[in-house]
Amino acid sequence: MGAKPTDKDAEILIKIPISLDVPIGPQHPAIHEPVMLKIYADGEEVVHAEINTGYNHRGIEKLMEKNSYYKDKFIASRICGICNTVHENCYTRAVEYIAGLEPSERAKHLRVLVMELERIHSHMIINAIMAEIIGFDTLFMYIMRDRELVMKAKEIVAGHRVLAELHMFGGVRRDIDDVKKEKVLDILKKLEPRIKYYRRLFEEDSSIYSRLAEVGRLKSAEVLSNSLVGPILRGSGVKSDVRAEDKYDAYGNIPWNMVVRPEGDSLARMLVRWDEALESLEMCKYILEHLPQGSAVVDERKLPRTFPPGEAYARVEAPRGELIYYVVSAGGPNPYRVKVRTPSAVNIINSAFSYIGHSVADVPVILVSYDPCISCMERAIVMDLKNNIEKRVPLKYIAQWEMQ
Amino acid sequence: MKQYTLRREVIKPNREVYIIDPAKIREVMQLIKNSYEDNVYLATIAGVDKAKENIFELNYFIHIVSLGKTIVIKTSIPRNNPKLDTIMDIIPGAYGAEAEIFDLLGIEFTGNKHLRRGFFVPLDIVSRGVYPLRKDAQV
Amino acid sequence: MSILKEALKNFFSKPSTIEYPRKVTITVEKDLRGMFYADLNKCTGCSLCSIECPAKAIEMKKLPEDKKPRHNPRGLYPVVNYMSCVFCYRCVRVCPVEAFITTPTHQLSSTREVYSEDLTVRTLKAIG
Repeated sequence: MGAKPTDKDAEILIKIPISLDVPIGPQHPAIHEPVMLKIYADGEEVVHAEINTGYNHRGIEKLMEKNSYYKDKFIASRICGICNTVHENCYTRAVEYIAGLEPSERAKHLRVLVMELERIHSHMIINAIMAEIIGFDTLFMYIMRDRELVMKAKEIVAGHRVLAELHMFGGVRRDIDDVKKEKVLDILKKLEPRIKYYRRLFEEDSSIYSRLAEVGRLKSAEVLSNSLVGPILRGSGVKSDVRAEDKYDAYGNIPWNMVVRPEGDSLARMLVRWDEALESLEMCKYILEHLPQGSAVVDERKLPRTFPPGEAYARVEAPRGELIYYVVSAGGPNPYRVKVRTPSAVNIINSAFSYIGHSVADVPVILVSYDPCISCMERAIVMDLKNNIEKRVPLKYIAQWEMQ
Repeated sequence: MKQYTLRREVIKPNREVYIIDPAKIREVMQLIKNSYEDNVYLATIAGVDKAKENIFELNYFIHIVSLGKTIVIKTSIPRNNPKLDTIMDIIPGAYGAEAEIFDLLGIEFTGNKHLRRGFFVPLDIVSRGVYPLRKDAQV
Repeated sequence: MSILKEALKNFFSKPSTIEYPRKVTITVEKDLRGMFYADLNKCTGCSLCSIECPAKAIEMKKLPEDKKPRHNPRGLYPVVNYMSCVFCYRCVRVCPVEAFITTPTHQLSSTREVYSEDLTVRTLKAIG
């Protein structure tokens, strides 16, 4: 329940439950508990913020020690629904480093194609949610309608709209031919003017500008010392991107630009995401035109059952930040230790300092611009301490609130 | 940096590992932060329970932005007395990682006021006093 | 087209709700990962699919004695429980003789449990 307010005479206490990274798996681990963001408000201004966590991600690390490497690959892709391909890619590359397997060039390009398609649809969904929070419902509906085109493209390439189980140790599981290539190029051609239009809207529309500009400003020194990652880093002027540093898979062969903006407020972060979506679209077109020849599909019957001892540390650029897998193997068919660190974990838990000094209606805007993996971030509990009433309100209501 | 290093290794793919004494962890962190003018961030802290050798092994992964490289600092502490110094005042980003390791493995970071059980672990397991990620825990 | 013009145009046209399942307008790709079942003319009863399934959705059942083909000495065949299956296709790819037949059927919700037993046993009767 509520902790006692500080001596700053706070009148209203707001608890916002968030839940992170819900796994949809064959075996269900520990109990589901939401993350709570407790905010103490004095009148209109936030004076203190606290985070209470307790999510069921951790049951996965113990679960992965009991299953074989192959079953763990299917568990890893079910940690997050929106960014499942990058989880698979990170785990597959970590095990490939341990075992010494090397995929072919065509397989590397196909992996990058699926990951970039996923980046486009993830950025579209977070911008749609930002539009919904500030009240622009029409934009939310139109972005979601155009997102269906990306899901159709993923179905053509990988076999399924959401969970593309494309990776396997040593290559991929399916291949594309010329007919499919033409279909995907058609879809990308239809998508490009829509994304350019939405990006122009975010830059020029006056209602979006007045809600998002100068809100949640972060300096680059603060961001680095608190270990925030992803578009938050790049929206504050720090040039750091895992795709440019590690050059894993085929990123060394494809020309692309890193997007960095110096301002550091919420509008800069959302514009970084739209620019990244446009870059991903160009990358997908380049890959489809320049696919190398050869075989990409791996025969799953000939893969080894046990892996040699060793350790590996793999990083990948998820749409939300930097995702890390650290795999320790002691020989045998099961891994000894698997550590997963998702970007939403550090972005939400370490960022309690940035809400102080803003008004209450800005809190959902800042939270959504950090891009939590929103599964059910729907409701908040408003406690009126003076009259001792508790109400449940949706987060949208707080964003459009006027204090009485 | 060389004066603190006990041993040097490489883990795949090409990341350098420096193995140091656990009592000197704060000085090493301060040295790294000063020599690269604060252009570093702490990626994560990973704890491994090696029950056969009776130690806990801790890995600090630090990413240096100006070089584009990640380095690993590795220490070992004995299993029956798991205590270590905190680095939260030098790098405030260690808050999430240290809280998680305390809750799941039971390693205590002296000087960190924000540690508590029940951060990630559900409450019925906390009341039994079990640290879930240890090798001898039955969950 | 800008949002304002498109919103005004949709305001005056009829509702765009698709009356599913009466009018089916969804077309899926031919190689969508859908319903699949084993072909008893090829299956040898090695049980690899049942061991490798991450969802534990495949169970091996015994054939009656007079119907055992020569290439299946143990007489076991796999039965898939579609309510537990996650359609990852690990069983299809790991089978040594490629004995699974795949279809793009994806509308499998029902209020009872659905198994692949009838489809599998029918392949044996087709050969006589």
